[in-house]
Amino acid sequence: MLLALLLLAPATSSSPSFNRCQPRFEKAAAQLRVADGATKRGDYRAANVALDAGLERLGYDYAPPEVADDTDLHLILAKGQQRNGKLRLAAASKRSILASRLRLCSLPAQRTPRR
Amino acid sequence: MVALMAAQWRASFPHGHQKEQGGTIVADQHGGLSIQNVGGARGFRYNQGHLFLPNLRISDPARFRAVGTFHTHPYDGSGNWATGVSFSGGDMGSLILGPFLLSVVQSGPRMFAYVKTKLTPAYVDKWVLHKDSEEEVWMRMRAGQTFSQGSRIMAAGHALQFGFAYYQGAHGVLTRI
Repeated sequence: MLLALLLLAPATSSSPSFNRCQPRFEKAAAQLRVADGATKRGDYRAANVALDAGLERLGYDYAPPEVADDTDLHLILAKGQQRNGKLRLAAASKRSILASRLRLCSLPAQRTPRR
Repeated sequence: MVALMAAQWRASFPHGHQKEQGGTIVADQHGGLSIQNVGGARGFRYNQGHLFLPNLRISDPARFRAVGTFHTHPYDGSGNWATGVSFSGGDMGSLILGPFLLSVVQSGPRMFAYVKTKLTPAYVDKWVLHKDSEEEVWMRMRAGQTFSQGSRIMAAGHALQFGFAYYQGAHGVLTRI
């Protein structure tokens, strides 16, 4: 009887996944999904708006300090692409950046070397 | 080290697409520098088109200690094959908040180095740093400068702001700015 109850019990994760970006992560990830939907419809203007919102919501505290994070420079280029009317390219660049930053949220810091 | 860095630059465009390369700079007990863990950390999938993750596990830690990182700044056609691109806001934050004294970047033949000094703060607000550096480069591009030029001027200004010793050069010869 006890075994049957255990088998019917809902599955739970054995340990919480590491994510330094909570609670910002979910809202930023939601904007990524909105952008993907807009891209699928061919609405690159809306995709850019959603991606900008996602990047803003996530903020800048998403990576451990040892990461050489050059996404801010690439974001500048994406801004330039957008300003030049290349909305599809800009959206693709920003999507790549937001996805990278979200991914880094789950990267634990490496043990720092002794000084 | 210079030859290795140059080789890492050449390896930054596999199949014509940008991919940041790099390694961990280590010092021996006499202060001699070398690079370990070329290629960075493994076991975590990430987009190396705009990021580099160094591997901080040093071989022979009795002889060597990690003092910095090196990485490349490649830009493929999507970035107009830009070279001479200096430190990003993220690089600065990493140096301020992380355990290292030194950061070296190679972008084309040009090289850049930041060294922490006693004037470098122990903390920086990443939001302010990223926004500030992005806006400055963007502003300079709007004023007619190239992306590369804007990045170099921004990096020089932030070096003053954060007390970094800032070096620029090419082919292994760097001069303090």
